[in-house]
Amino acid sequence: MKWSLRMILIMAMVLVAVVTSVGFTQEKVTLTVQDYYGSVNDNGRFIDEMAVEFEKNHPNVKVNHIDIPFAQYLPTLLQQTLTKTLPDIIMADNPSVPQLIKAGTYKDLTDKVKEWGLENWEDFFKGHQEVTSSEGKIYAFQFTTNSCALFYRKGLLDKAGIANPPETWQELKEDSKKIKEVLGINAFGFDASATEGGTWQFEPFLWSNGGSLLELDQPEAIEALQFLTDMVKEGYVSRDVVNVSSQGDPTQWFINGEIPFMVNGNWEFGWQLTEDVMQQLGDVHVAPLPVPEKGKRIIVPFGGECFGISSNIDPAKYDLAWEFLKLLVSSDNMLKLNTEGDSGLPTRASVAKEILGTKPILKVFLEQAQYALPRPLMGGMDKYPDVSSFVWVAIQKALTGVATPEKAFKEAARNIQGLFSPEDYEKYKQLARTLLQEVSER
Amino acid sequence: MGKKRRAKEWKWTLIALIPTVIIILPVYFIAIGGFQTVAEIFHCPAYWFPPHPTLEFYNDAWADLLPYLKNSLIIALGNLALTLVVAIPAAFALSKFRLKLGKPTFFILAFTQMLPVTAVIIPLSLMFIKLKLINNYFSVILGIAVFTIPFATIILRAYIQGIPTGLIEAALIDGASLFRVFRSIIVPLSSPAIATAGILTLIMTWGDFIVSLTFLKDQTVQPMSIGLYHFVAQYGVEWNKLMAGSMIFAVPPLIVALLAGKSIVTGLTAGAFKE
Amino acid sequence: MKASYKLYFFLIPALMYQLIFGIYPLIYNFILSLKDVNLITYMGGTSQWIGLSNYVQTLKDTVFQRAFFNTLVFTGLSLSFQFIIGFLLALLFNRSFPLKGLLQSLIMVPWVLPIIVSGSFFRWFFSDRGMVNGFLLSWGLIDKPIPWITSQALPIFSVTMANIWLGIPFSFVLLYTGLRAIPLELFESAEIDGANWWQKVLFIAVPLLKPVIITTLTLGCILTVKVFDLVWIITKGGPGEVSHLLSTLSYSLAFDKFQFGKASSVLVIMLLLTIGLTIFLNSIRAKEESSIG
Repeated sequence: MKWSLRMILIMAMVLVAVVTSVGFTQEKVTLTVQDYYGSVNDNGRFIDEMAVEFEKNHPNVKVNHIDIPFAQYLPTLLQQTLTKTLPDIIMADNPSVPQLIKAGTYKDLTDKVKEWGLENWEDFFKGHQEVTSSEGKIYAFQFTTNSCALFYRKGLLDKAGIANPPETWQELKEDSKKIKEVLGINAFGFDASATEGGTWQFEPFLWSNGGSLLELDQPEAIEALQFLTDMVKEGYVSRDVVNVSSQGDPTQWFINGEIPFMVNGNWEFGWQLTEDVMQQLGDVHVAPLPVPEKGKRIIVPFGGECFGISSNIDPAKYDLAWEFLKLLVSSDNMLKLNTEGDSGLPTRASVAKEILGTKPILKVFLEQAQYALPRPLMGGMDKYPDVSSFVWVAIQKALTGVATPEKAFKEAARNIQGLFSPEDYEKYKQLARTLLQEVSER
Repeated sequence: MGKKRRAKEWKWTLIALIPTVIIILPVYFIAIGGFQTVAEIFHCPAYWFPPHPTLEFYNDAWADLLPYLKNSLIIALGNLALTLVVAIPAAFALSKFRLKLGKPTFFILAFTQMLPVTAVIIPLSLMFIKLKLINNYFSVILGIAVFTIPFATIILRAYIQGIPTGLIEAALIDGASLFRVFRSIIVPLSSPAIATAGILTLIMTWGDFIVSLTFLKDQTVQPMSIGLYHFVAQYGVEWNKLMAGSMIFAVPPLIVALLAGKSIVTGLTAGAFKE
Repeated sequence: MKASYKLYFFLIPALMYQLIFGIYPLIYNFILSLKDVNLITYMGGTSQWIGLSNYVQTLKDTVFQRAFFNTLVFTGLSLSFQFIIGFLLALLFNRSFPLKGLLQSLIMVPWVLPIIVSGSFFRWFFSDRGMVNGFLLSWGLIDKPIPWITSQALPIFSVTMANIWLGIPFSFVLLYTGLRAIPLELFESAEIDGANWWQKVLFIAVPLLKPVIITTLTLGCILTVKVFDLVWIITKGGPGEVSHLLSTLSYSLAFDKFQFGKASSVLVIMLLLTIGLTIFLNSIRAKEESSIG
């Protein structure tokens, strides 16, 4: 009995192998587009729409939109880069792009851009240009952007007797104290996980205080970490922030009324704080994140993903891929994406101007986008992901009391400096200082 | 007399229920998670019963995951077939005989499993690309088999060692070929072990995620384990659908475990002793 | 028993398969560990050979040392408890009673659930606002949440507890199958001779189960040392890298910091550790086999 069962299994397996390895003959050309959006959110849906439009205009082309789960995206991209099996059009989160450019993932598009007209390139905000180009060559376009701000539940603030959202760190501390006394809950939530999300949500506090990722052993940086550590120590922030699965977890606490304040970004309006949720809660507002002292400007990093063409693309498909890429980032389509969708901000100045005023809830984000900084330029360009990993480890150590902020950052600063040659370190250190100064004084 | 025996047996059911319930407790929360909204799942303190149970998310999860089911089945069964066909004979050869290659083979089988999947995936894909094996079920089946073949072999070997050597020697003396002995004595007598190795292999394969993700880019051939991951998105997790989906995901291997469990019967070798 | 050349036909498929598809990754990682490799140098083909330099740096790294220690604790405690609980359950289920099949399948569930879900459950379970603390707080046993996964010393034990839960089905199934193969008559005749439950287990079941027990522990050891997903989901090796296992540390070095050379050196050390434990466990088996003959 067992024997015949096994024979059947063997034959099934052989059949499967034969059927699947024969493959299907395609007369159509397939263009693969890879990202982690999925079809659920605005960006994913937009790309699907663009794919349909493109297929209509090019009947011999099939656009295959591949969705890789977010957590696996970078390892998958890495594996594809190493084995030279990258899909035709690839997306990456902007902080990784300089490193990917250096590793040869993206194809040099400069000639194509010149053909298109350089004014298109220059329409993109300067920060986005800097992140997607290297040594005068253009490799990708930033497709969408976002940033972080302070979300608050007015209803809970009213109950605790707080009239206005805090503008300074001191005010946030005082408000948190009131909230703890009157409402008995944690006041504040953010992402301090061992991922880029942790570094990303810390950068506003760091930069607004004049600190630098490459000089964490300086007082400005330590003060910023100390502030957040004190918030945890006093019980205003739960230690669970170090273990959140993503920035979306504090949103759930926020929705449940367990925290009145949270750090989060405009993507939430297309994700968990959708129109019906907003209507249901009725009291969600956005304010700029608090700054160290009155008068200082809030300086945030910008987020968002970039699209480019793979360096190992079949030369016969290159022109087609370029056509599709242009479609994704043309000003008309970008306007469409940002008008219909709520989760991103435009990356082209001309489009941003048109959107301004049409979406009141995005007001804070659009304003701070003018001063938003590109993370790689502030943290060693292609080595930014490495730098970031030391930052989040230090943040976690300080918030859980494993080390003092000073000790944690001194160690991180040592490790970060060790990533660079002395000349490179000086170069990037100066670059970060220059950018920060320029934006603070503008 | 019948009532007394039945009452005695139910006593064991109750005793067995205690550790079972403790072990299942986390699963209970995951199961009910599928009936709540994400905010309800996160509610502090946690709900023991869903406050407003709805089937909506189980339905959504089922609809989202169904297309992946066929792929999971093909990969799991294909791997199971390959694994058993290779492992059972190897286990037999390693169990009772003093082969020169025996010890090194055993260690190779043990070694090659020691690497985590994530460390194996890049070299394997380099290799599979050269062998032109990418993007079909076959590559995944082969990739997972690197782990399931040694796994099944080592398990089966341990059980086959328990089969009385006398039986085998007697048959050989009677003039049976090795293959005959294998087919008529070893395989039937070790069927509980084959069932066990089979279940464990199937579960390992069913849950595979990394190998499938690496070798299968086309969504139409991806298994359910990857389908589940689509609920884990960039800015947050759709916990309720993920939990509902996980329960759905767990059902096929559990059914197999239930059915195969019945084939693990006591005293199969008892008959052999008696004669 | 005597070997015949025909037996090699039985063995060759498995052996060849592993040599082709299993050994190559091992060698690949070993070579990588001897070079200074990051993403850029790998792509450019400019990785330098630096001999054992990666190993020296790794061994000096305090994060590595902690991960090594964590791996020992994690593996030792996991194996011990999984085995004991699995064995007790196997003994319990080694009789027939109503609903036995159903309960047995339920015990398999921890292993069948996708780790993204069970891992996430335990992350929440052990969090400051999670079920364990909620329970302890409401019963007044503590007045502040215990930092199960938000402190320095506790996280490794919390993930170990989660892993024990995860591995019970594995031990249970293997030991149960082995137990079922023991003819009931042996137990019955021992009972007639006046043996109690404990003696039956120790003097009949355990000796006959030796191959199965050693195999369960060996495979359990191999599978446990390389456990990655569970820990990665619960703590990601944190907070602040205090709960890294060798497997998670290697992954983090490779995919967070792109230091492939160092990542491979950690992997090789992990391999050596596993080999050492396996040899130790199998030396016990070898002793037994020579006495059975």
